[in-house]
Amino acid sequence: MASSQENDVKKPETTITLKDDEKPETTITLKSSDGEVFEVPESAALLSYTIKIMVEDCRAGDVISLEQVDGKTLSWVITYLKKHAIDPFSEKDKDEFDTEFFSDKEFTSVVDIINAANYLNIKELLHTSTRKIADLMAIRWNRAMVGRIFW
Amino acid sequence: MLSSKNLLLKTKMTRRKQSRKPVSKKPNSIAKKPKFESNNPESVLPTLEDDGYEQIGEEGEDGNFSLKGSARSHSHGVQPLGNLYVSASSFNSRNTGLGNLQTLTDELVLDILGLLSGTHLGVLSTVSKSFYVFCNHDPLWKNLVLDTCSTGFLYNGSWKNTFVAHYTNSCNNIVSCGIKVRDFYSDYLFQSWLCANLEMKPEWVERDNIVRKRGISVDEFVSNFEEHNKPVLLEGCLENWPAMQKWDREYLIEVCGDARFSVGPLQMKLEDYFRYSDQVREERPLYLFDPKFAEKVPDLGTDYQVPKYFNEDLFSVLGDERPDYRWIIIGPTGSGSSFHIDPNSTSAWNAVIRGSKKWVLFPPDMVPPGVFPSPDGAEVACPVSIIEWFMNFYNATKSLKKRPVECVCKAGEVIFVPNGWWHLVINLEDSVAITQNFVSRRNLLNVLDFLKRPNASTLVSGTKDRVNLHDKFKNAITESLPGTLDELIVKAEEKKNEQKKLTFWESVTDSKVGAFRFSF
Repeated sequence: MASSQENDVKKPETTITLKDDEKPETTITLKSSDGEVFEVPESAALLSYTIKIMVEDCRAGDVISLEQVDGKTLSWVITYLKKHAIDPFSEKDKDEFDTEFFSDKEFTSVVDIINAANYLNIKELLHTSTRKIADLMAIRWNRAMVGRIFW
Repeated sequence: MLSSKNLLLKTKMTRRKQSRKPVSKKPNSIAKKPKFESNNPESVLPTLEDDGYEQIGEEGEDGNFSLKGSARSHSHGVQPLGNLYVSASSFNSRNTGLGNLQTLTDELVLDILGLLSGTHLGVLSTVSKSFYVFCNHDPLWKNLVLDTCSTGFLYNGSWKNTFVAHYTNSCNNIVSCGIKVRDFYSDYLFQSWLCANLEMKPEWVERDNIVRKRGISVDEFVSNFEEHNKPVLLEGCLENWPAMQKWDREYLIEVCGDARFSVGPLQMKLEDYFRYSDQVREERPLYLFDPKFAEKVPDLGTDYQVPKYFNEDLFSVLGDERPDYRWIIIGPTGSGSSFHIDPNSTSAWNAVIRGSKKWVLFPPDMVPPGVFPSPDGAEVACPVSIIEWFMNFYNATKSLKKRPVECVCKAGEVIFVPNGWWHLVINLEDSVAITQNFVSRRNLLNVLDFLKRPNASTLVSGTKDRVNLHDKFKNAITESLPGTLDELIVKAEEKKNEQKKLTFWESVTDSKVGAFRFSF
């Protein structure tokens, strides 16, 4: 608003223009089987074909309930998706991240991730996690060792 | 309890590229015949009781399955999951034996095992009864053979034995009976065995509603069938083919010598292929499908000639640069092709020289039940084996308003498959056939449209130069047959306008609407 004294000076319009990468991204709310709720950026969530279909079928703002994935596994999967949704993401960086991602996971956790990736239909994660289990089997193919990791 | 409904739950869907002719397999039938004979399709369908099968029982009108004559019960004693609920023991050794992997589905377990080498798979099979059964799932070993034996293989009773023999350079016939495992229940593994050992039921084979013609003129064929894009079965066209007299097994082996033909991802000698096809018993037998057979063995090319109806072959203007257009198909009972549309929007003819084939065809606007093409058409998800489609989806065709076109094409007969039609084929006995895809003036515009598509690089098939095929072809046509293209475009416009008029008029007078109609 210009006062009478400032008539000659036009105040610049105060508009805020966000650059593309600063725009807040839509998030999708996911709920695990044990009730944990996660806010996930859309680009990450839509890497899961299952979530993509579910989103198409519901309204904006709805919570997507994932009955077959528990909270712990879902949080891992979300970490994976967020990282893989970054664009661009080079093959080398992907490999590094994937190796690190699985390095601290126990055998049973990897199995849970496989089940989750299968249910959520995330091709890359499924491929990497099955590969990880196969590698474990191959490394420890001594019969006694194999028995120990499976039971 | 085993019934078709149980198995419905576990239909495995597999993705395959729409643009390539799929390699597909099917269980084998009864006694292996060393020579090709033109048998009645009915003669390959005995009904036999099987010891291991009796405990399972049958339910419902679809519960009766006929197993192959020499089928034994599952070699490792696998039973379908439903049996668990009525068995005396209440545990599934599948689960206890998998340990921490038991929460995974059968498919996922097999996916993981599929990543292992032969040695690791072999060792893993000694860990527990459950791993024994999983690791001896023959398709795993099939993939190992196909991945490692690029120069072909000598089949040895089972894929596992074949792999081991190849690996150890041993020529001995290893006889492996398999150990029966108790209390192992798995729908997936059981179904796999069932599909490998099931006979085609008579009711799947007997329906034959295609139009059959003998001795018609080319003009009649073009105006009654090709222009309307209708399939037809032509009799009596192969009578002067030398192949009809000459092509028995001895002749073929002799004339092909050491030439190698495409079998799946490999190139194999014909003799070695017959060794496999005589012995194999699996869900999806490999079939020999070679686009360069006449180049490899010129005698084969001279033993047949293109029936007069299909002489217009416009891709020939491209000379050596034309996409693959003719194949020899040799396969055992049960091999075949599940639902697909031929690539590049071409039409096709398929002539049976030995054996017989069951065909099921759906028009372009009707996706068959159990088939799920991706939106761009590049991939098609459908049941793993052809028998599985018949088991789970054939009955659904009975309730459709427009039923599919079906027939059995016997030796000496040729079927015309119009462009865009979905089709499924299964060999009812050991068969040899020749098929060619072609473009005539009737479908030239369709083909050019198809080649022009933005995803031509994934959809166009049979050539290394997918992206440029459209331009090359169009230029070659314009050069060799000037004026043709323009004529056709004008005609097509006229037809479209006619149809628009017709549609309006018909809607006004309340009669049947729609340009495409077919009747049997």
